[in-house]
Amino acid sequence: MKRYFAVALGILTAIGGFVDIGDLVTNAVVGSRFGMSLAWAVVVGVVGICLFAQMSGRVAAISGRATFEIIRERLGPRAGTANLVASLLITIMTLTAEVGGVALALQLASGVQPLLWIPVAAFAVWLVIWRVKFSIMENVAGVLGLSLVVFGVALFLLGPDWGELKDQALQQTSHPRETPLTYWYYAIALFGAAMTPYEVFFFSSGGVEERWTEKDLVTSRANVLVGFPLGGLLSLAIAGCAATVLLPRGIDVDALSQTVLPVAMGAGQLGLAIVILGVVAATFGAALETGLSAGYALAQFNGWSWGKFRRPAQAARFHLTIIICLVVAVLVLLTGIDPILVTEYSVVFSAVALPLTYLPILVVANDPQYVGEHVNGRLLNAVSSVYLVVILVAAVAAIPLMILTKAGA
Amino acid sequence: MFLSDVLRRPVVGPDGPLGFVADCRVAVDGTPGQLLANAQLVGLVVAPRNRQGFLGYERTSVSSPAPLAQWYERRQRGSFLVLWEDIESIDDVVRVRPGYTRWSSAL
Amino acid sequence: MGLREAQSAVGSATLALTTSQDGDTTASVAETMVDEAGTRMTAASKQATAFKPTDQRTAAQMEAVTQALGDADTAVRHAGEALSGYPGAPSVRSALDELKQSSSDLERLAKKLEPPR
Repeated sequence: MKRYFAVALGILTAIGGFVDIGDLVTNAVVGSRFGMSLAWAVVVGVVGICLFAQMSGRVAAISGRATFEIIRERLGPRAGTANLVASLLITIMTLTAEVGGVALALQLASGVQPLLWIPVAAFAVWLVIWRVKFSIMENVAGVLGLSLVVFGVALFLLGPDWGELKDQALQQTSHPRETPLTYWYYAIALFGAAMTPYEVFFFSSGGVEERWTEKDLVTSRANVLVGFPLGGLLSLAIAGCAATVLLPRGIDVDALSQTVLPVAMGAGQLGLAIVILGVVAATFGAALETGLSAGYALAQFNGWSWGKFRRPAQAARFHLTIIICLVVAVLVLLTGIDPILVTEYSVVFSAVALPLTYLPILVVANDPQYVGEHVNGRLLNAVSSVYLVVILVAAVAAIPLMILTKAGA
Repeated sequence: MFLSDVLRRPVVGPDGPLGFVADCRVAVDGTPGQLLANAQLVGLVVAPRNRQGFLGYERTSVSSPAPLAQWYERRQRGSFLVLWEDIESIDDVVRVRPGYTRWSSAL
Repeated sequence: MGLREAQSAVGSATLALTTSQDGDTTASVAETMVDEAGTRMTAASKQATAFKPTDQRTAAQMEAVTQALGDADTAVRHAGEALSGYPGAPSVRSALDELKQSSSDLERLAKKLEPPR
């Protein structure tokens, strides 16, 4: 019984935890500009994150080593450091976007300027990381984040032309206002939003925090293989809402308020309250995860003691790293930069940095010295090799496309 | 001398350049210590090109996923192990004694 | 030249106003949206004025664009005032009419400026 409960809770938090500011913004932007015609990119991203998280979770459970311990061991100091710097920069960028997202959501709830919410949000993130137990932190944020399901409910209440949405997704109708280059740019952005590297650092380090063993493999696999696809469905619902309400009116999403407005139109003020709660929970949860991930990455790489299972005094440098990253995020946001812009860049750079962590995990998931008999099977290896190519192509194409399209303008 | 200083240095044999130091091999068979026996340096792995490592694919026991394993095997081609006894001197370049043996670098 | 941004901002402000009138959305969300639309309008106007026409035809077109963007800017500002509802502010109805007018102006202009195929 307890086991079923653990699996169910894990799946629920995986759904709620899947969507963060990157998914919220990117899916709404794409829905408002391309309808559902980039739905395939979400599917590709979800399958990718399932592969990646499943492998790194297995490596963490069997070997007890988290992602950056492995990167250090397998790549050596030189390539490892380059990898660390790139991954850390992107994680801090994502953290900045998430803290900004919390502030924007709180603005929608209160009408108070986001600049005033930023320090409050960052302080709350720090406080939770410092004080709250890992499992409580993860479960509360994940379950509250589930209120984003209201996007799906609202989509039904809006009563869209389902055939039209299906046609957009499957028949690739043309977009008179867009160029093929922006189409591909946003395909990579969606891919990066679904496959954010921090999710994997967090997932594998979380496995070590919660002391997973071989016995937890089934639970962790169920969380990933059921929770993440359902989270992907939620992403598609966000895009569907934007495609139904905003696309026909020629409104391009460039703010969080536009992302949640279709929910208000479909489900009224109650729906709006629920979706704002969901956005706050999802971005706050993701801010916790990215903040911790930055600490995990640096501490694991340098061999410092890390983890929330230790008291902060026993993992001082780990906690100091998190504090510094939060301060950096706040300072960046206080310059008045638009958090939505930071988000749009962070998902694309996520796609750029992805091969750096994917490759070592793929290699180690095949190494019996780490995972014993639980090495990748033949089919898994075939699929993950194809994904290695997809990830490499996306990483190489991302920056040229960003320049050519002026970041999707 | 630090091991990390030796890595990536050029290796010269009696008849000219051989490549670069890619890795070192140690065997844990020295005098017994508290947990493990002390590590003994067996030799240096010399690769024809000065590139990054093999990500563990120098071990014959690991051959999946196939495309990656083949890629790294190809990069590894031409690399060999020189025993520590066959190393003449180490300064800016690593010199190998005449009459040295090229051992397989696979594990 | 900022036309697309302006169309999006005007659309966004219109939607904020109608949903707030229908009671679907809260005042803080509607006000935030109109506020953001105002910011985008400013950016769009800036983009348009940075564009330097080279011949007489484009100069005439530019004048029309600047004019339309200015009207749109005013319409969005009026929408914000209507939402805040202080004495002397335009009514929501008249603000909506103004937005509708501006939206159709922008659309006509966008069609006219569309590059010939």
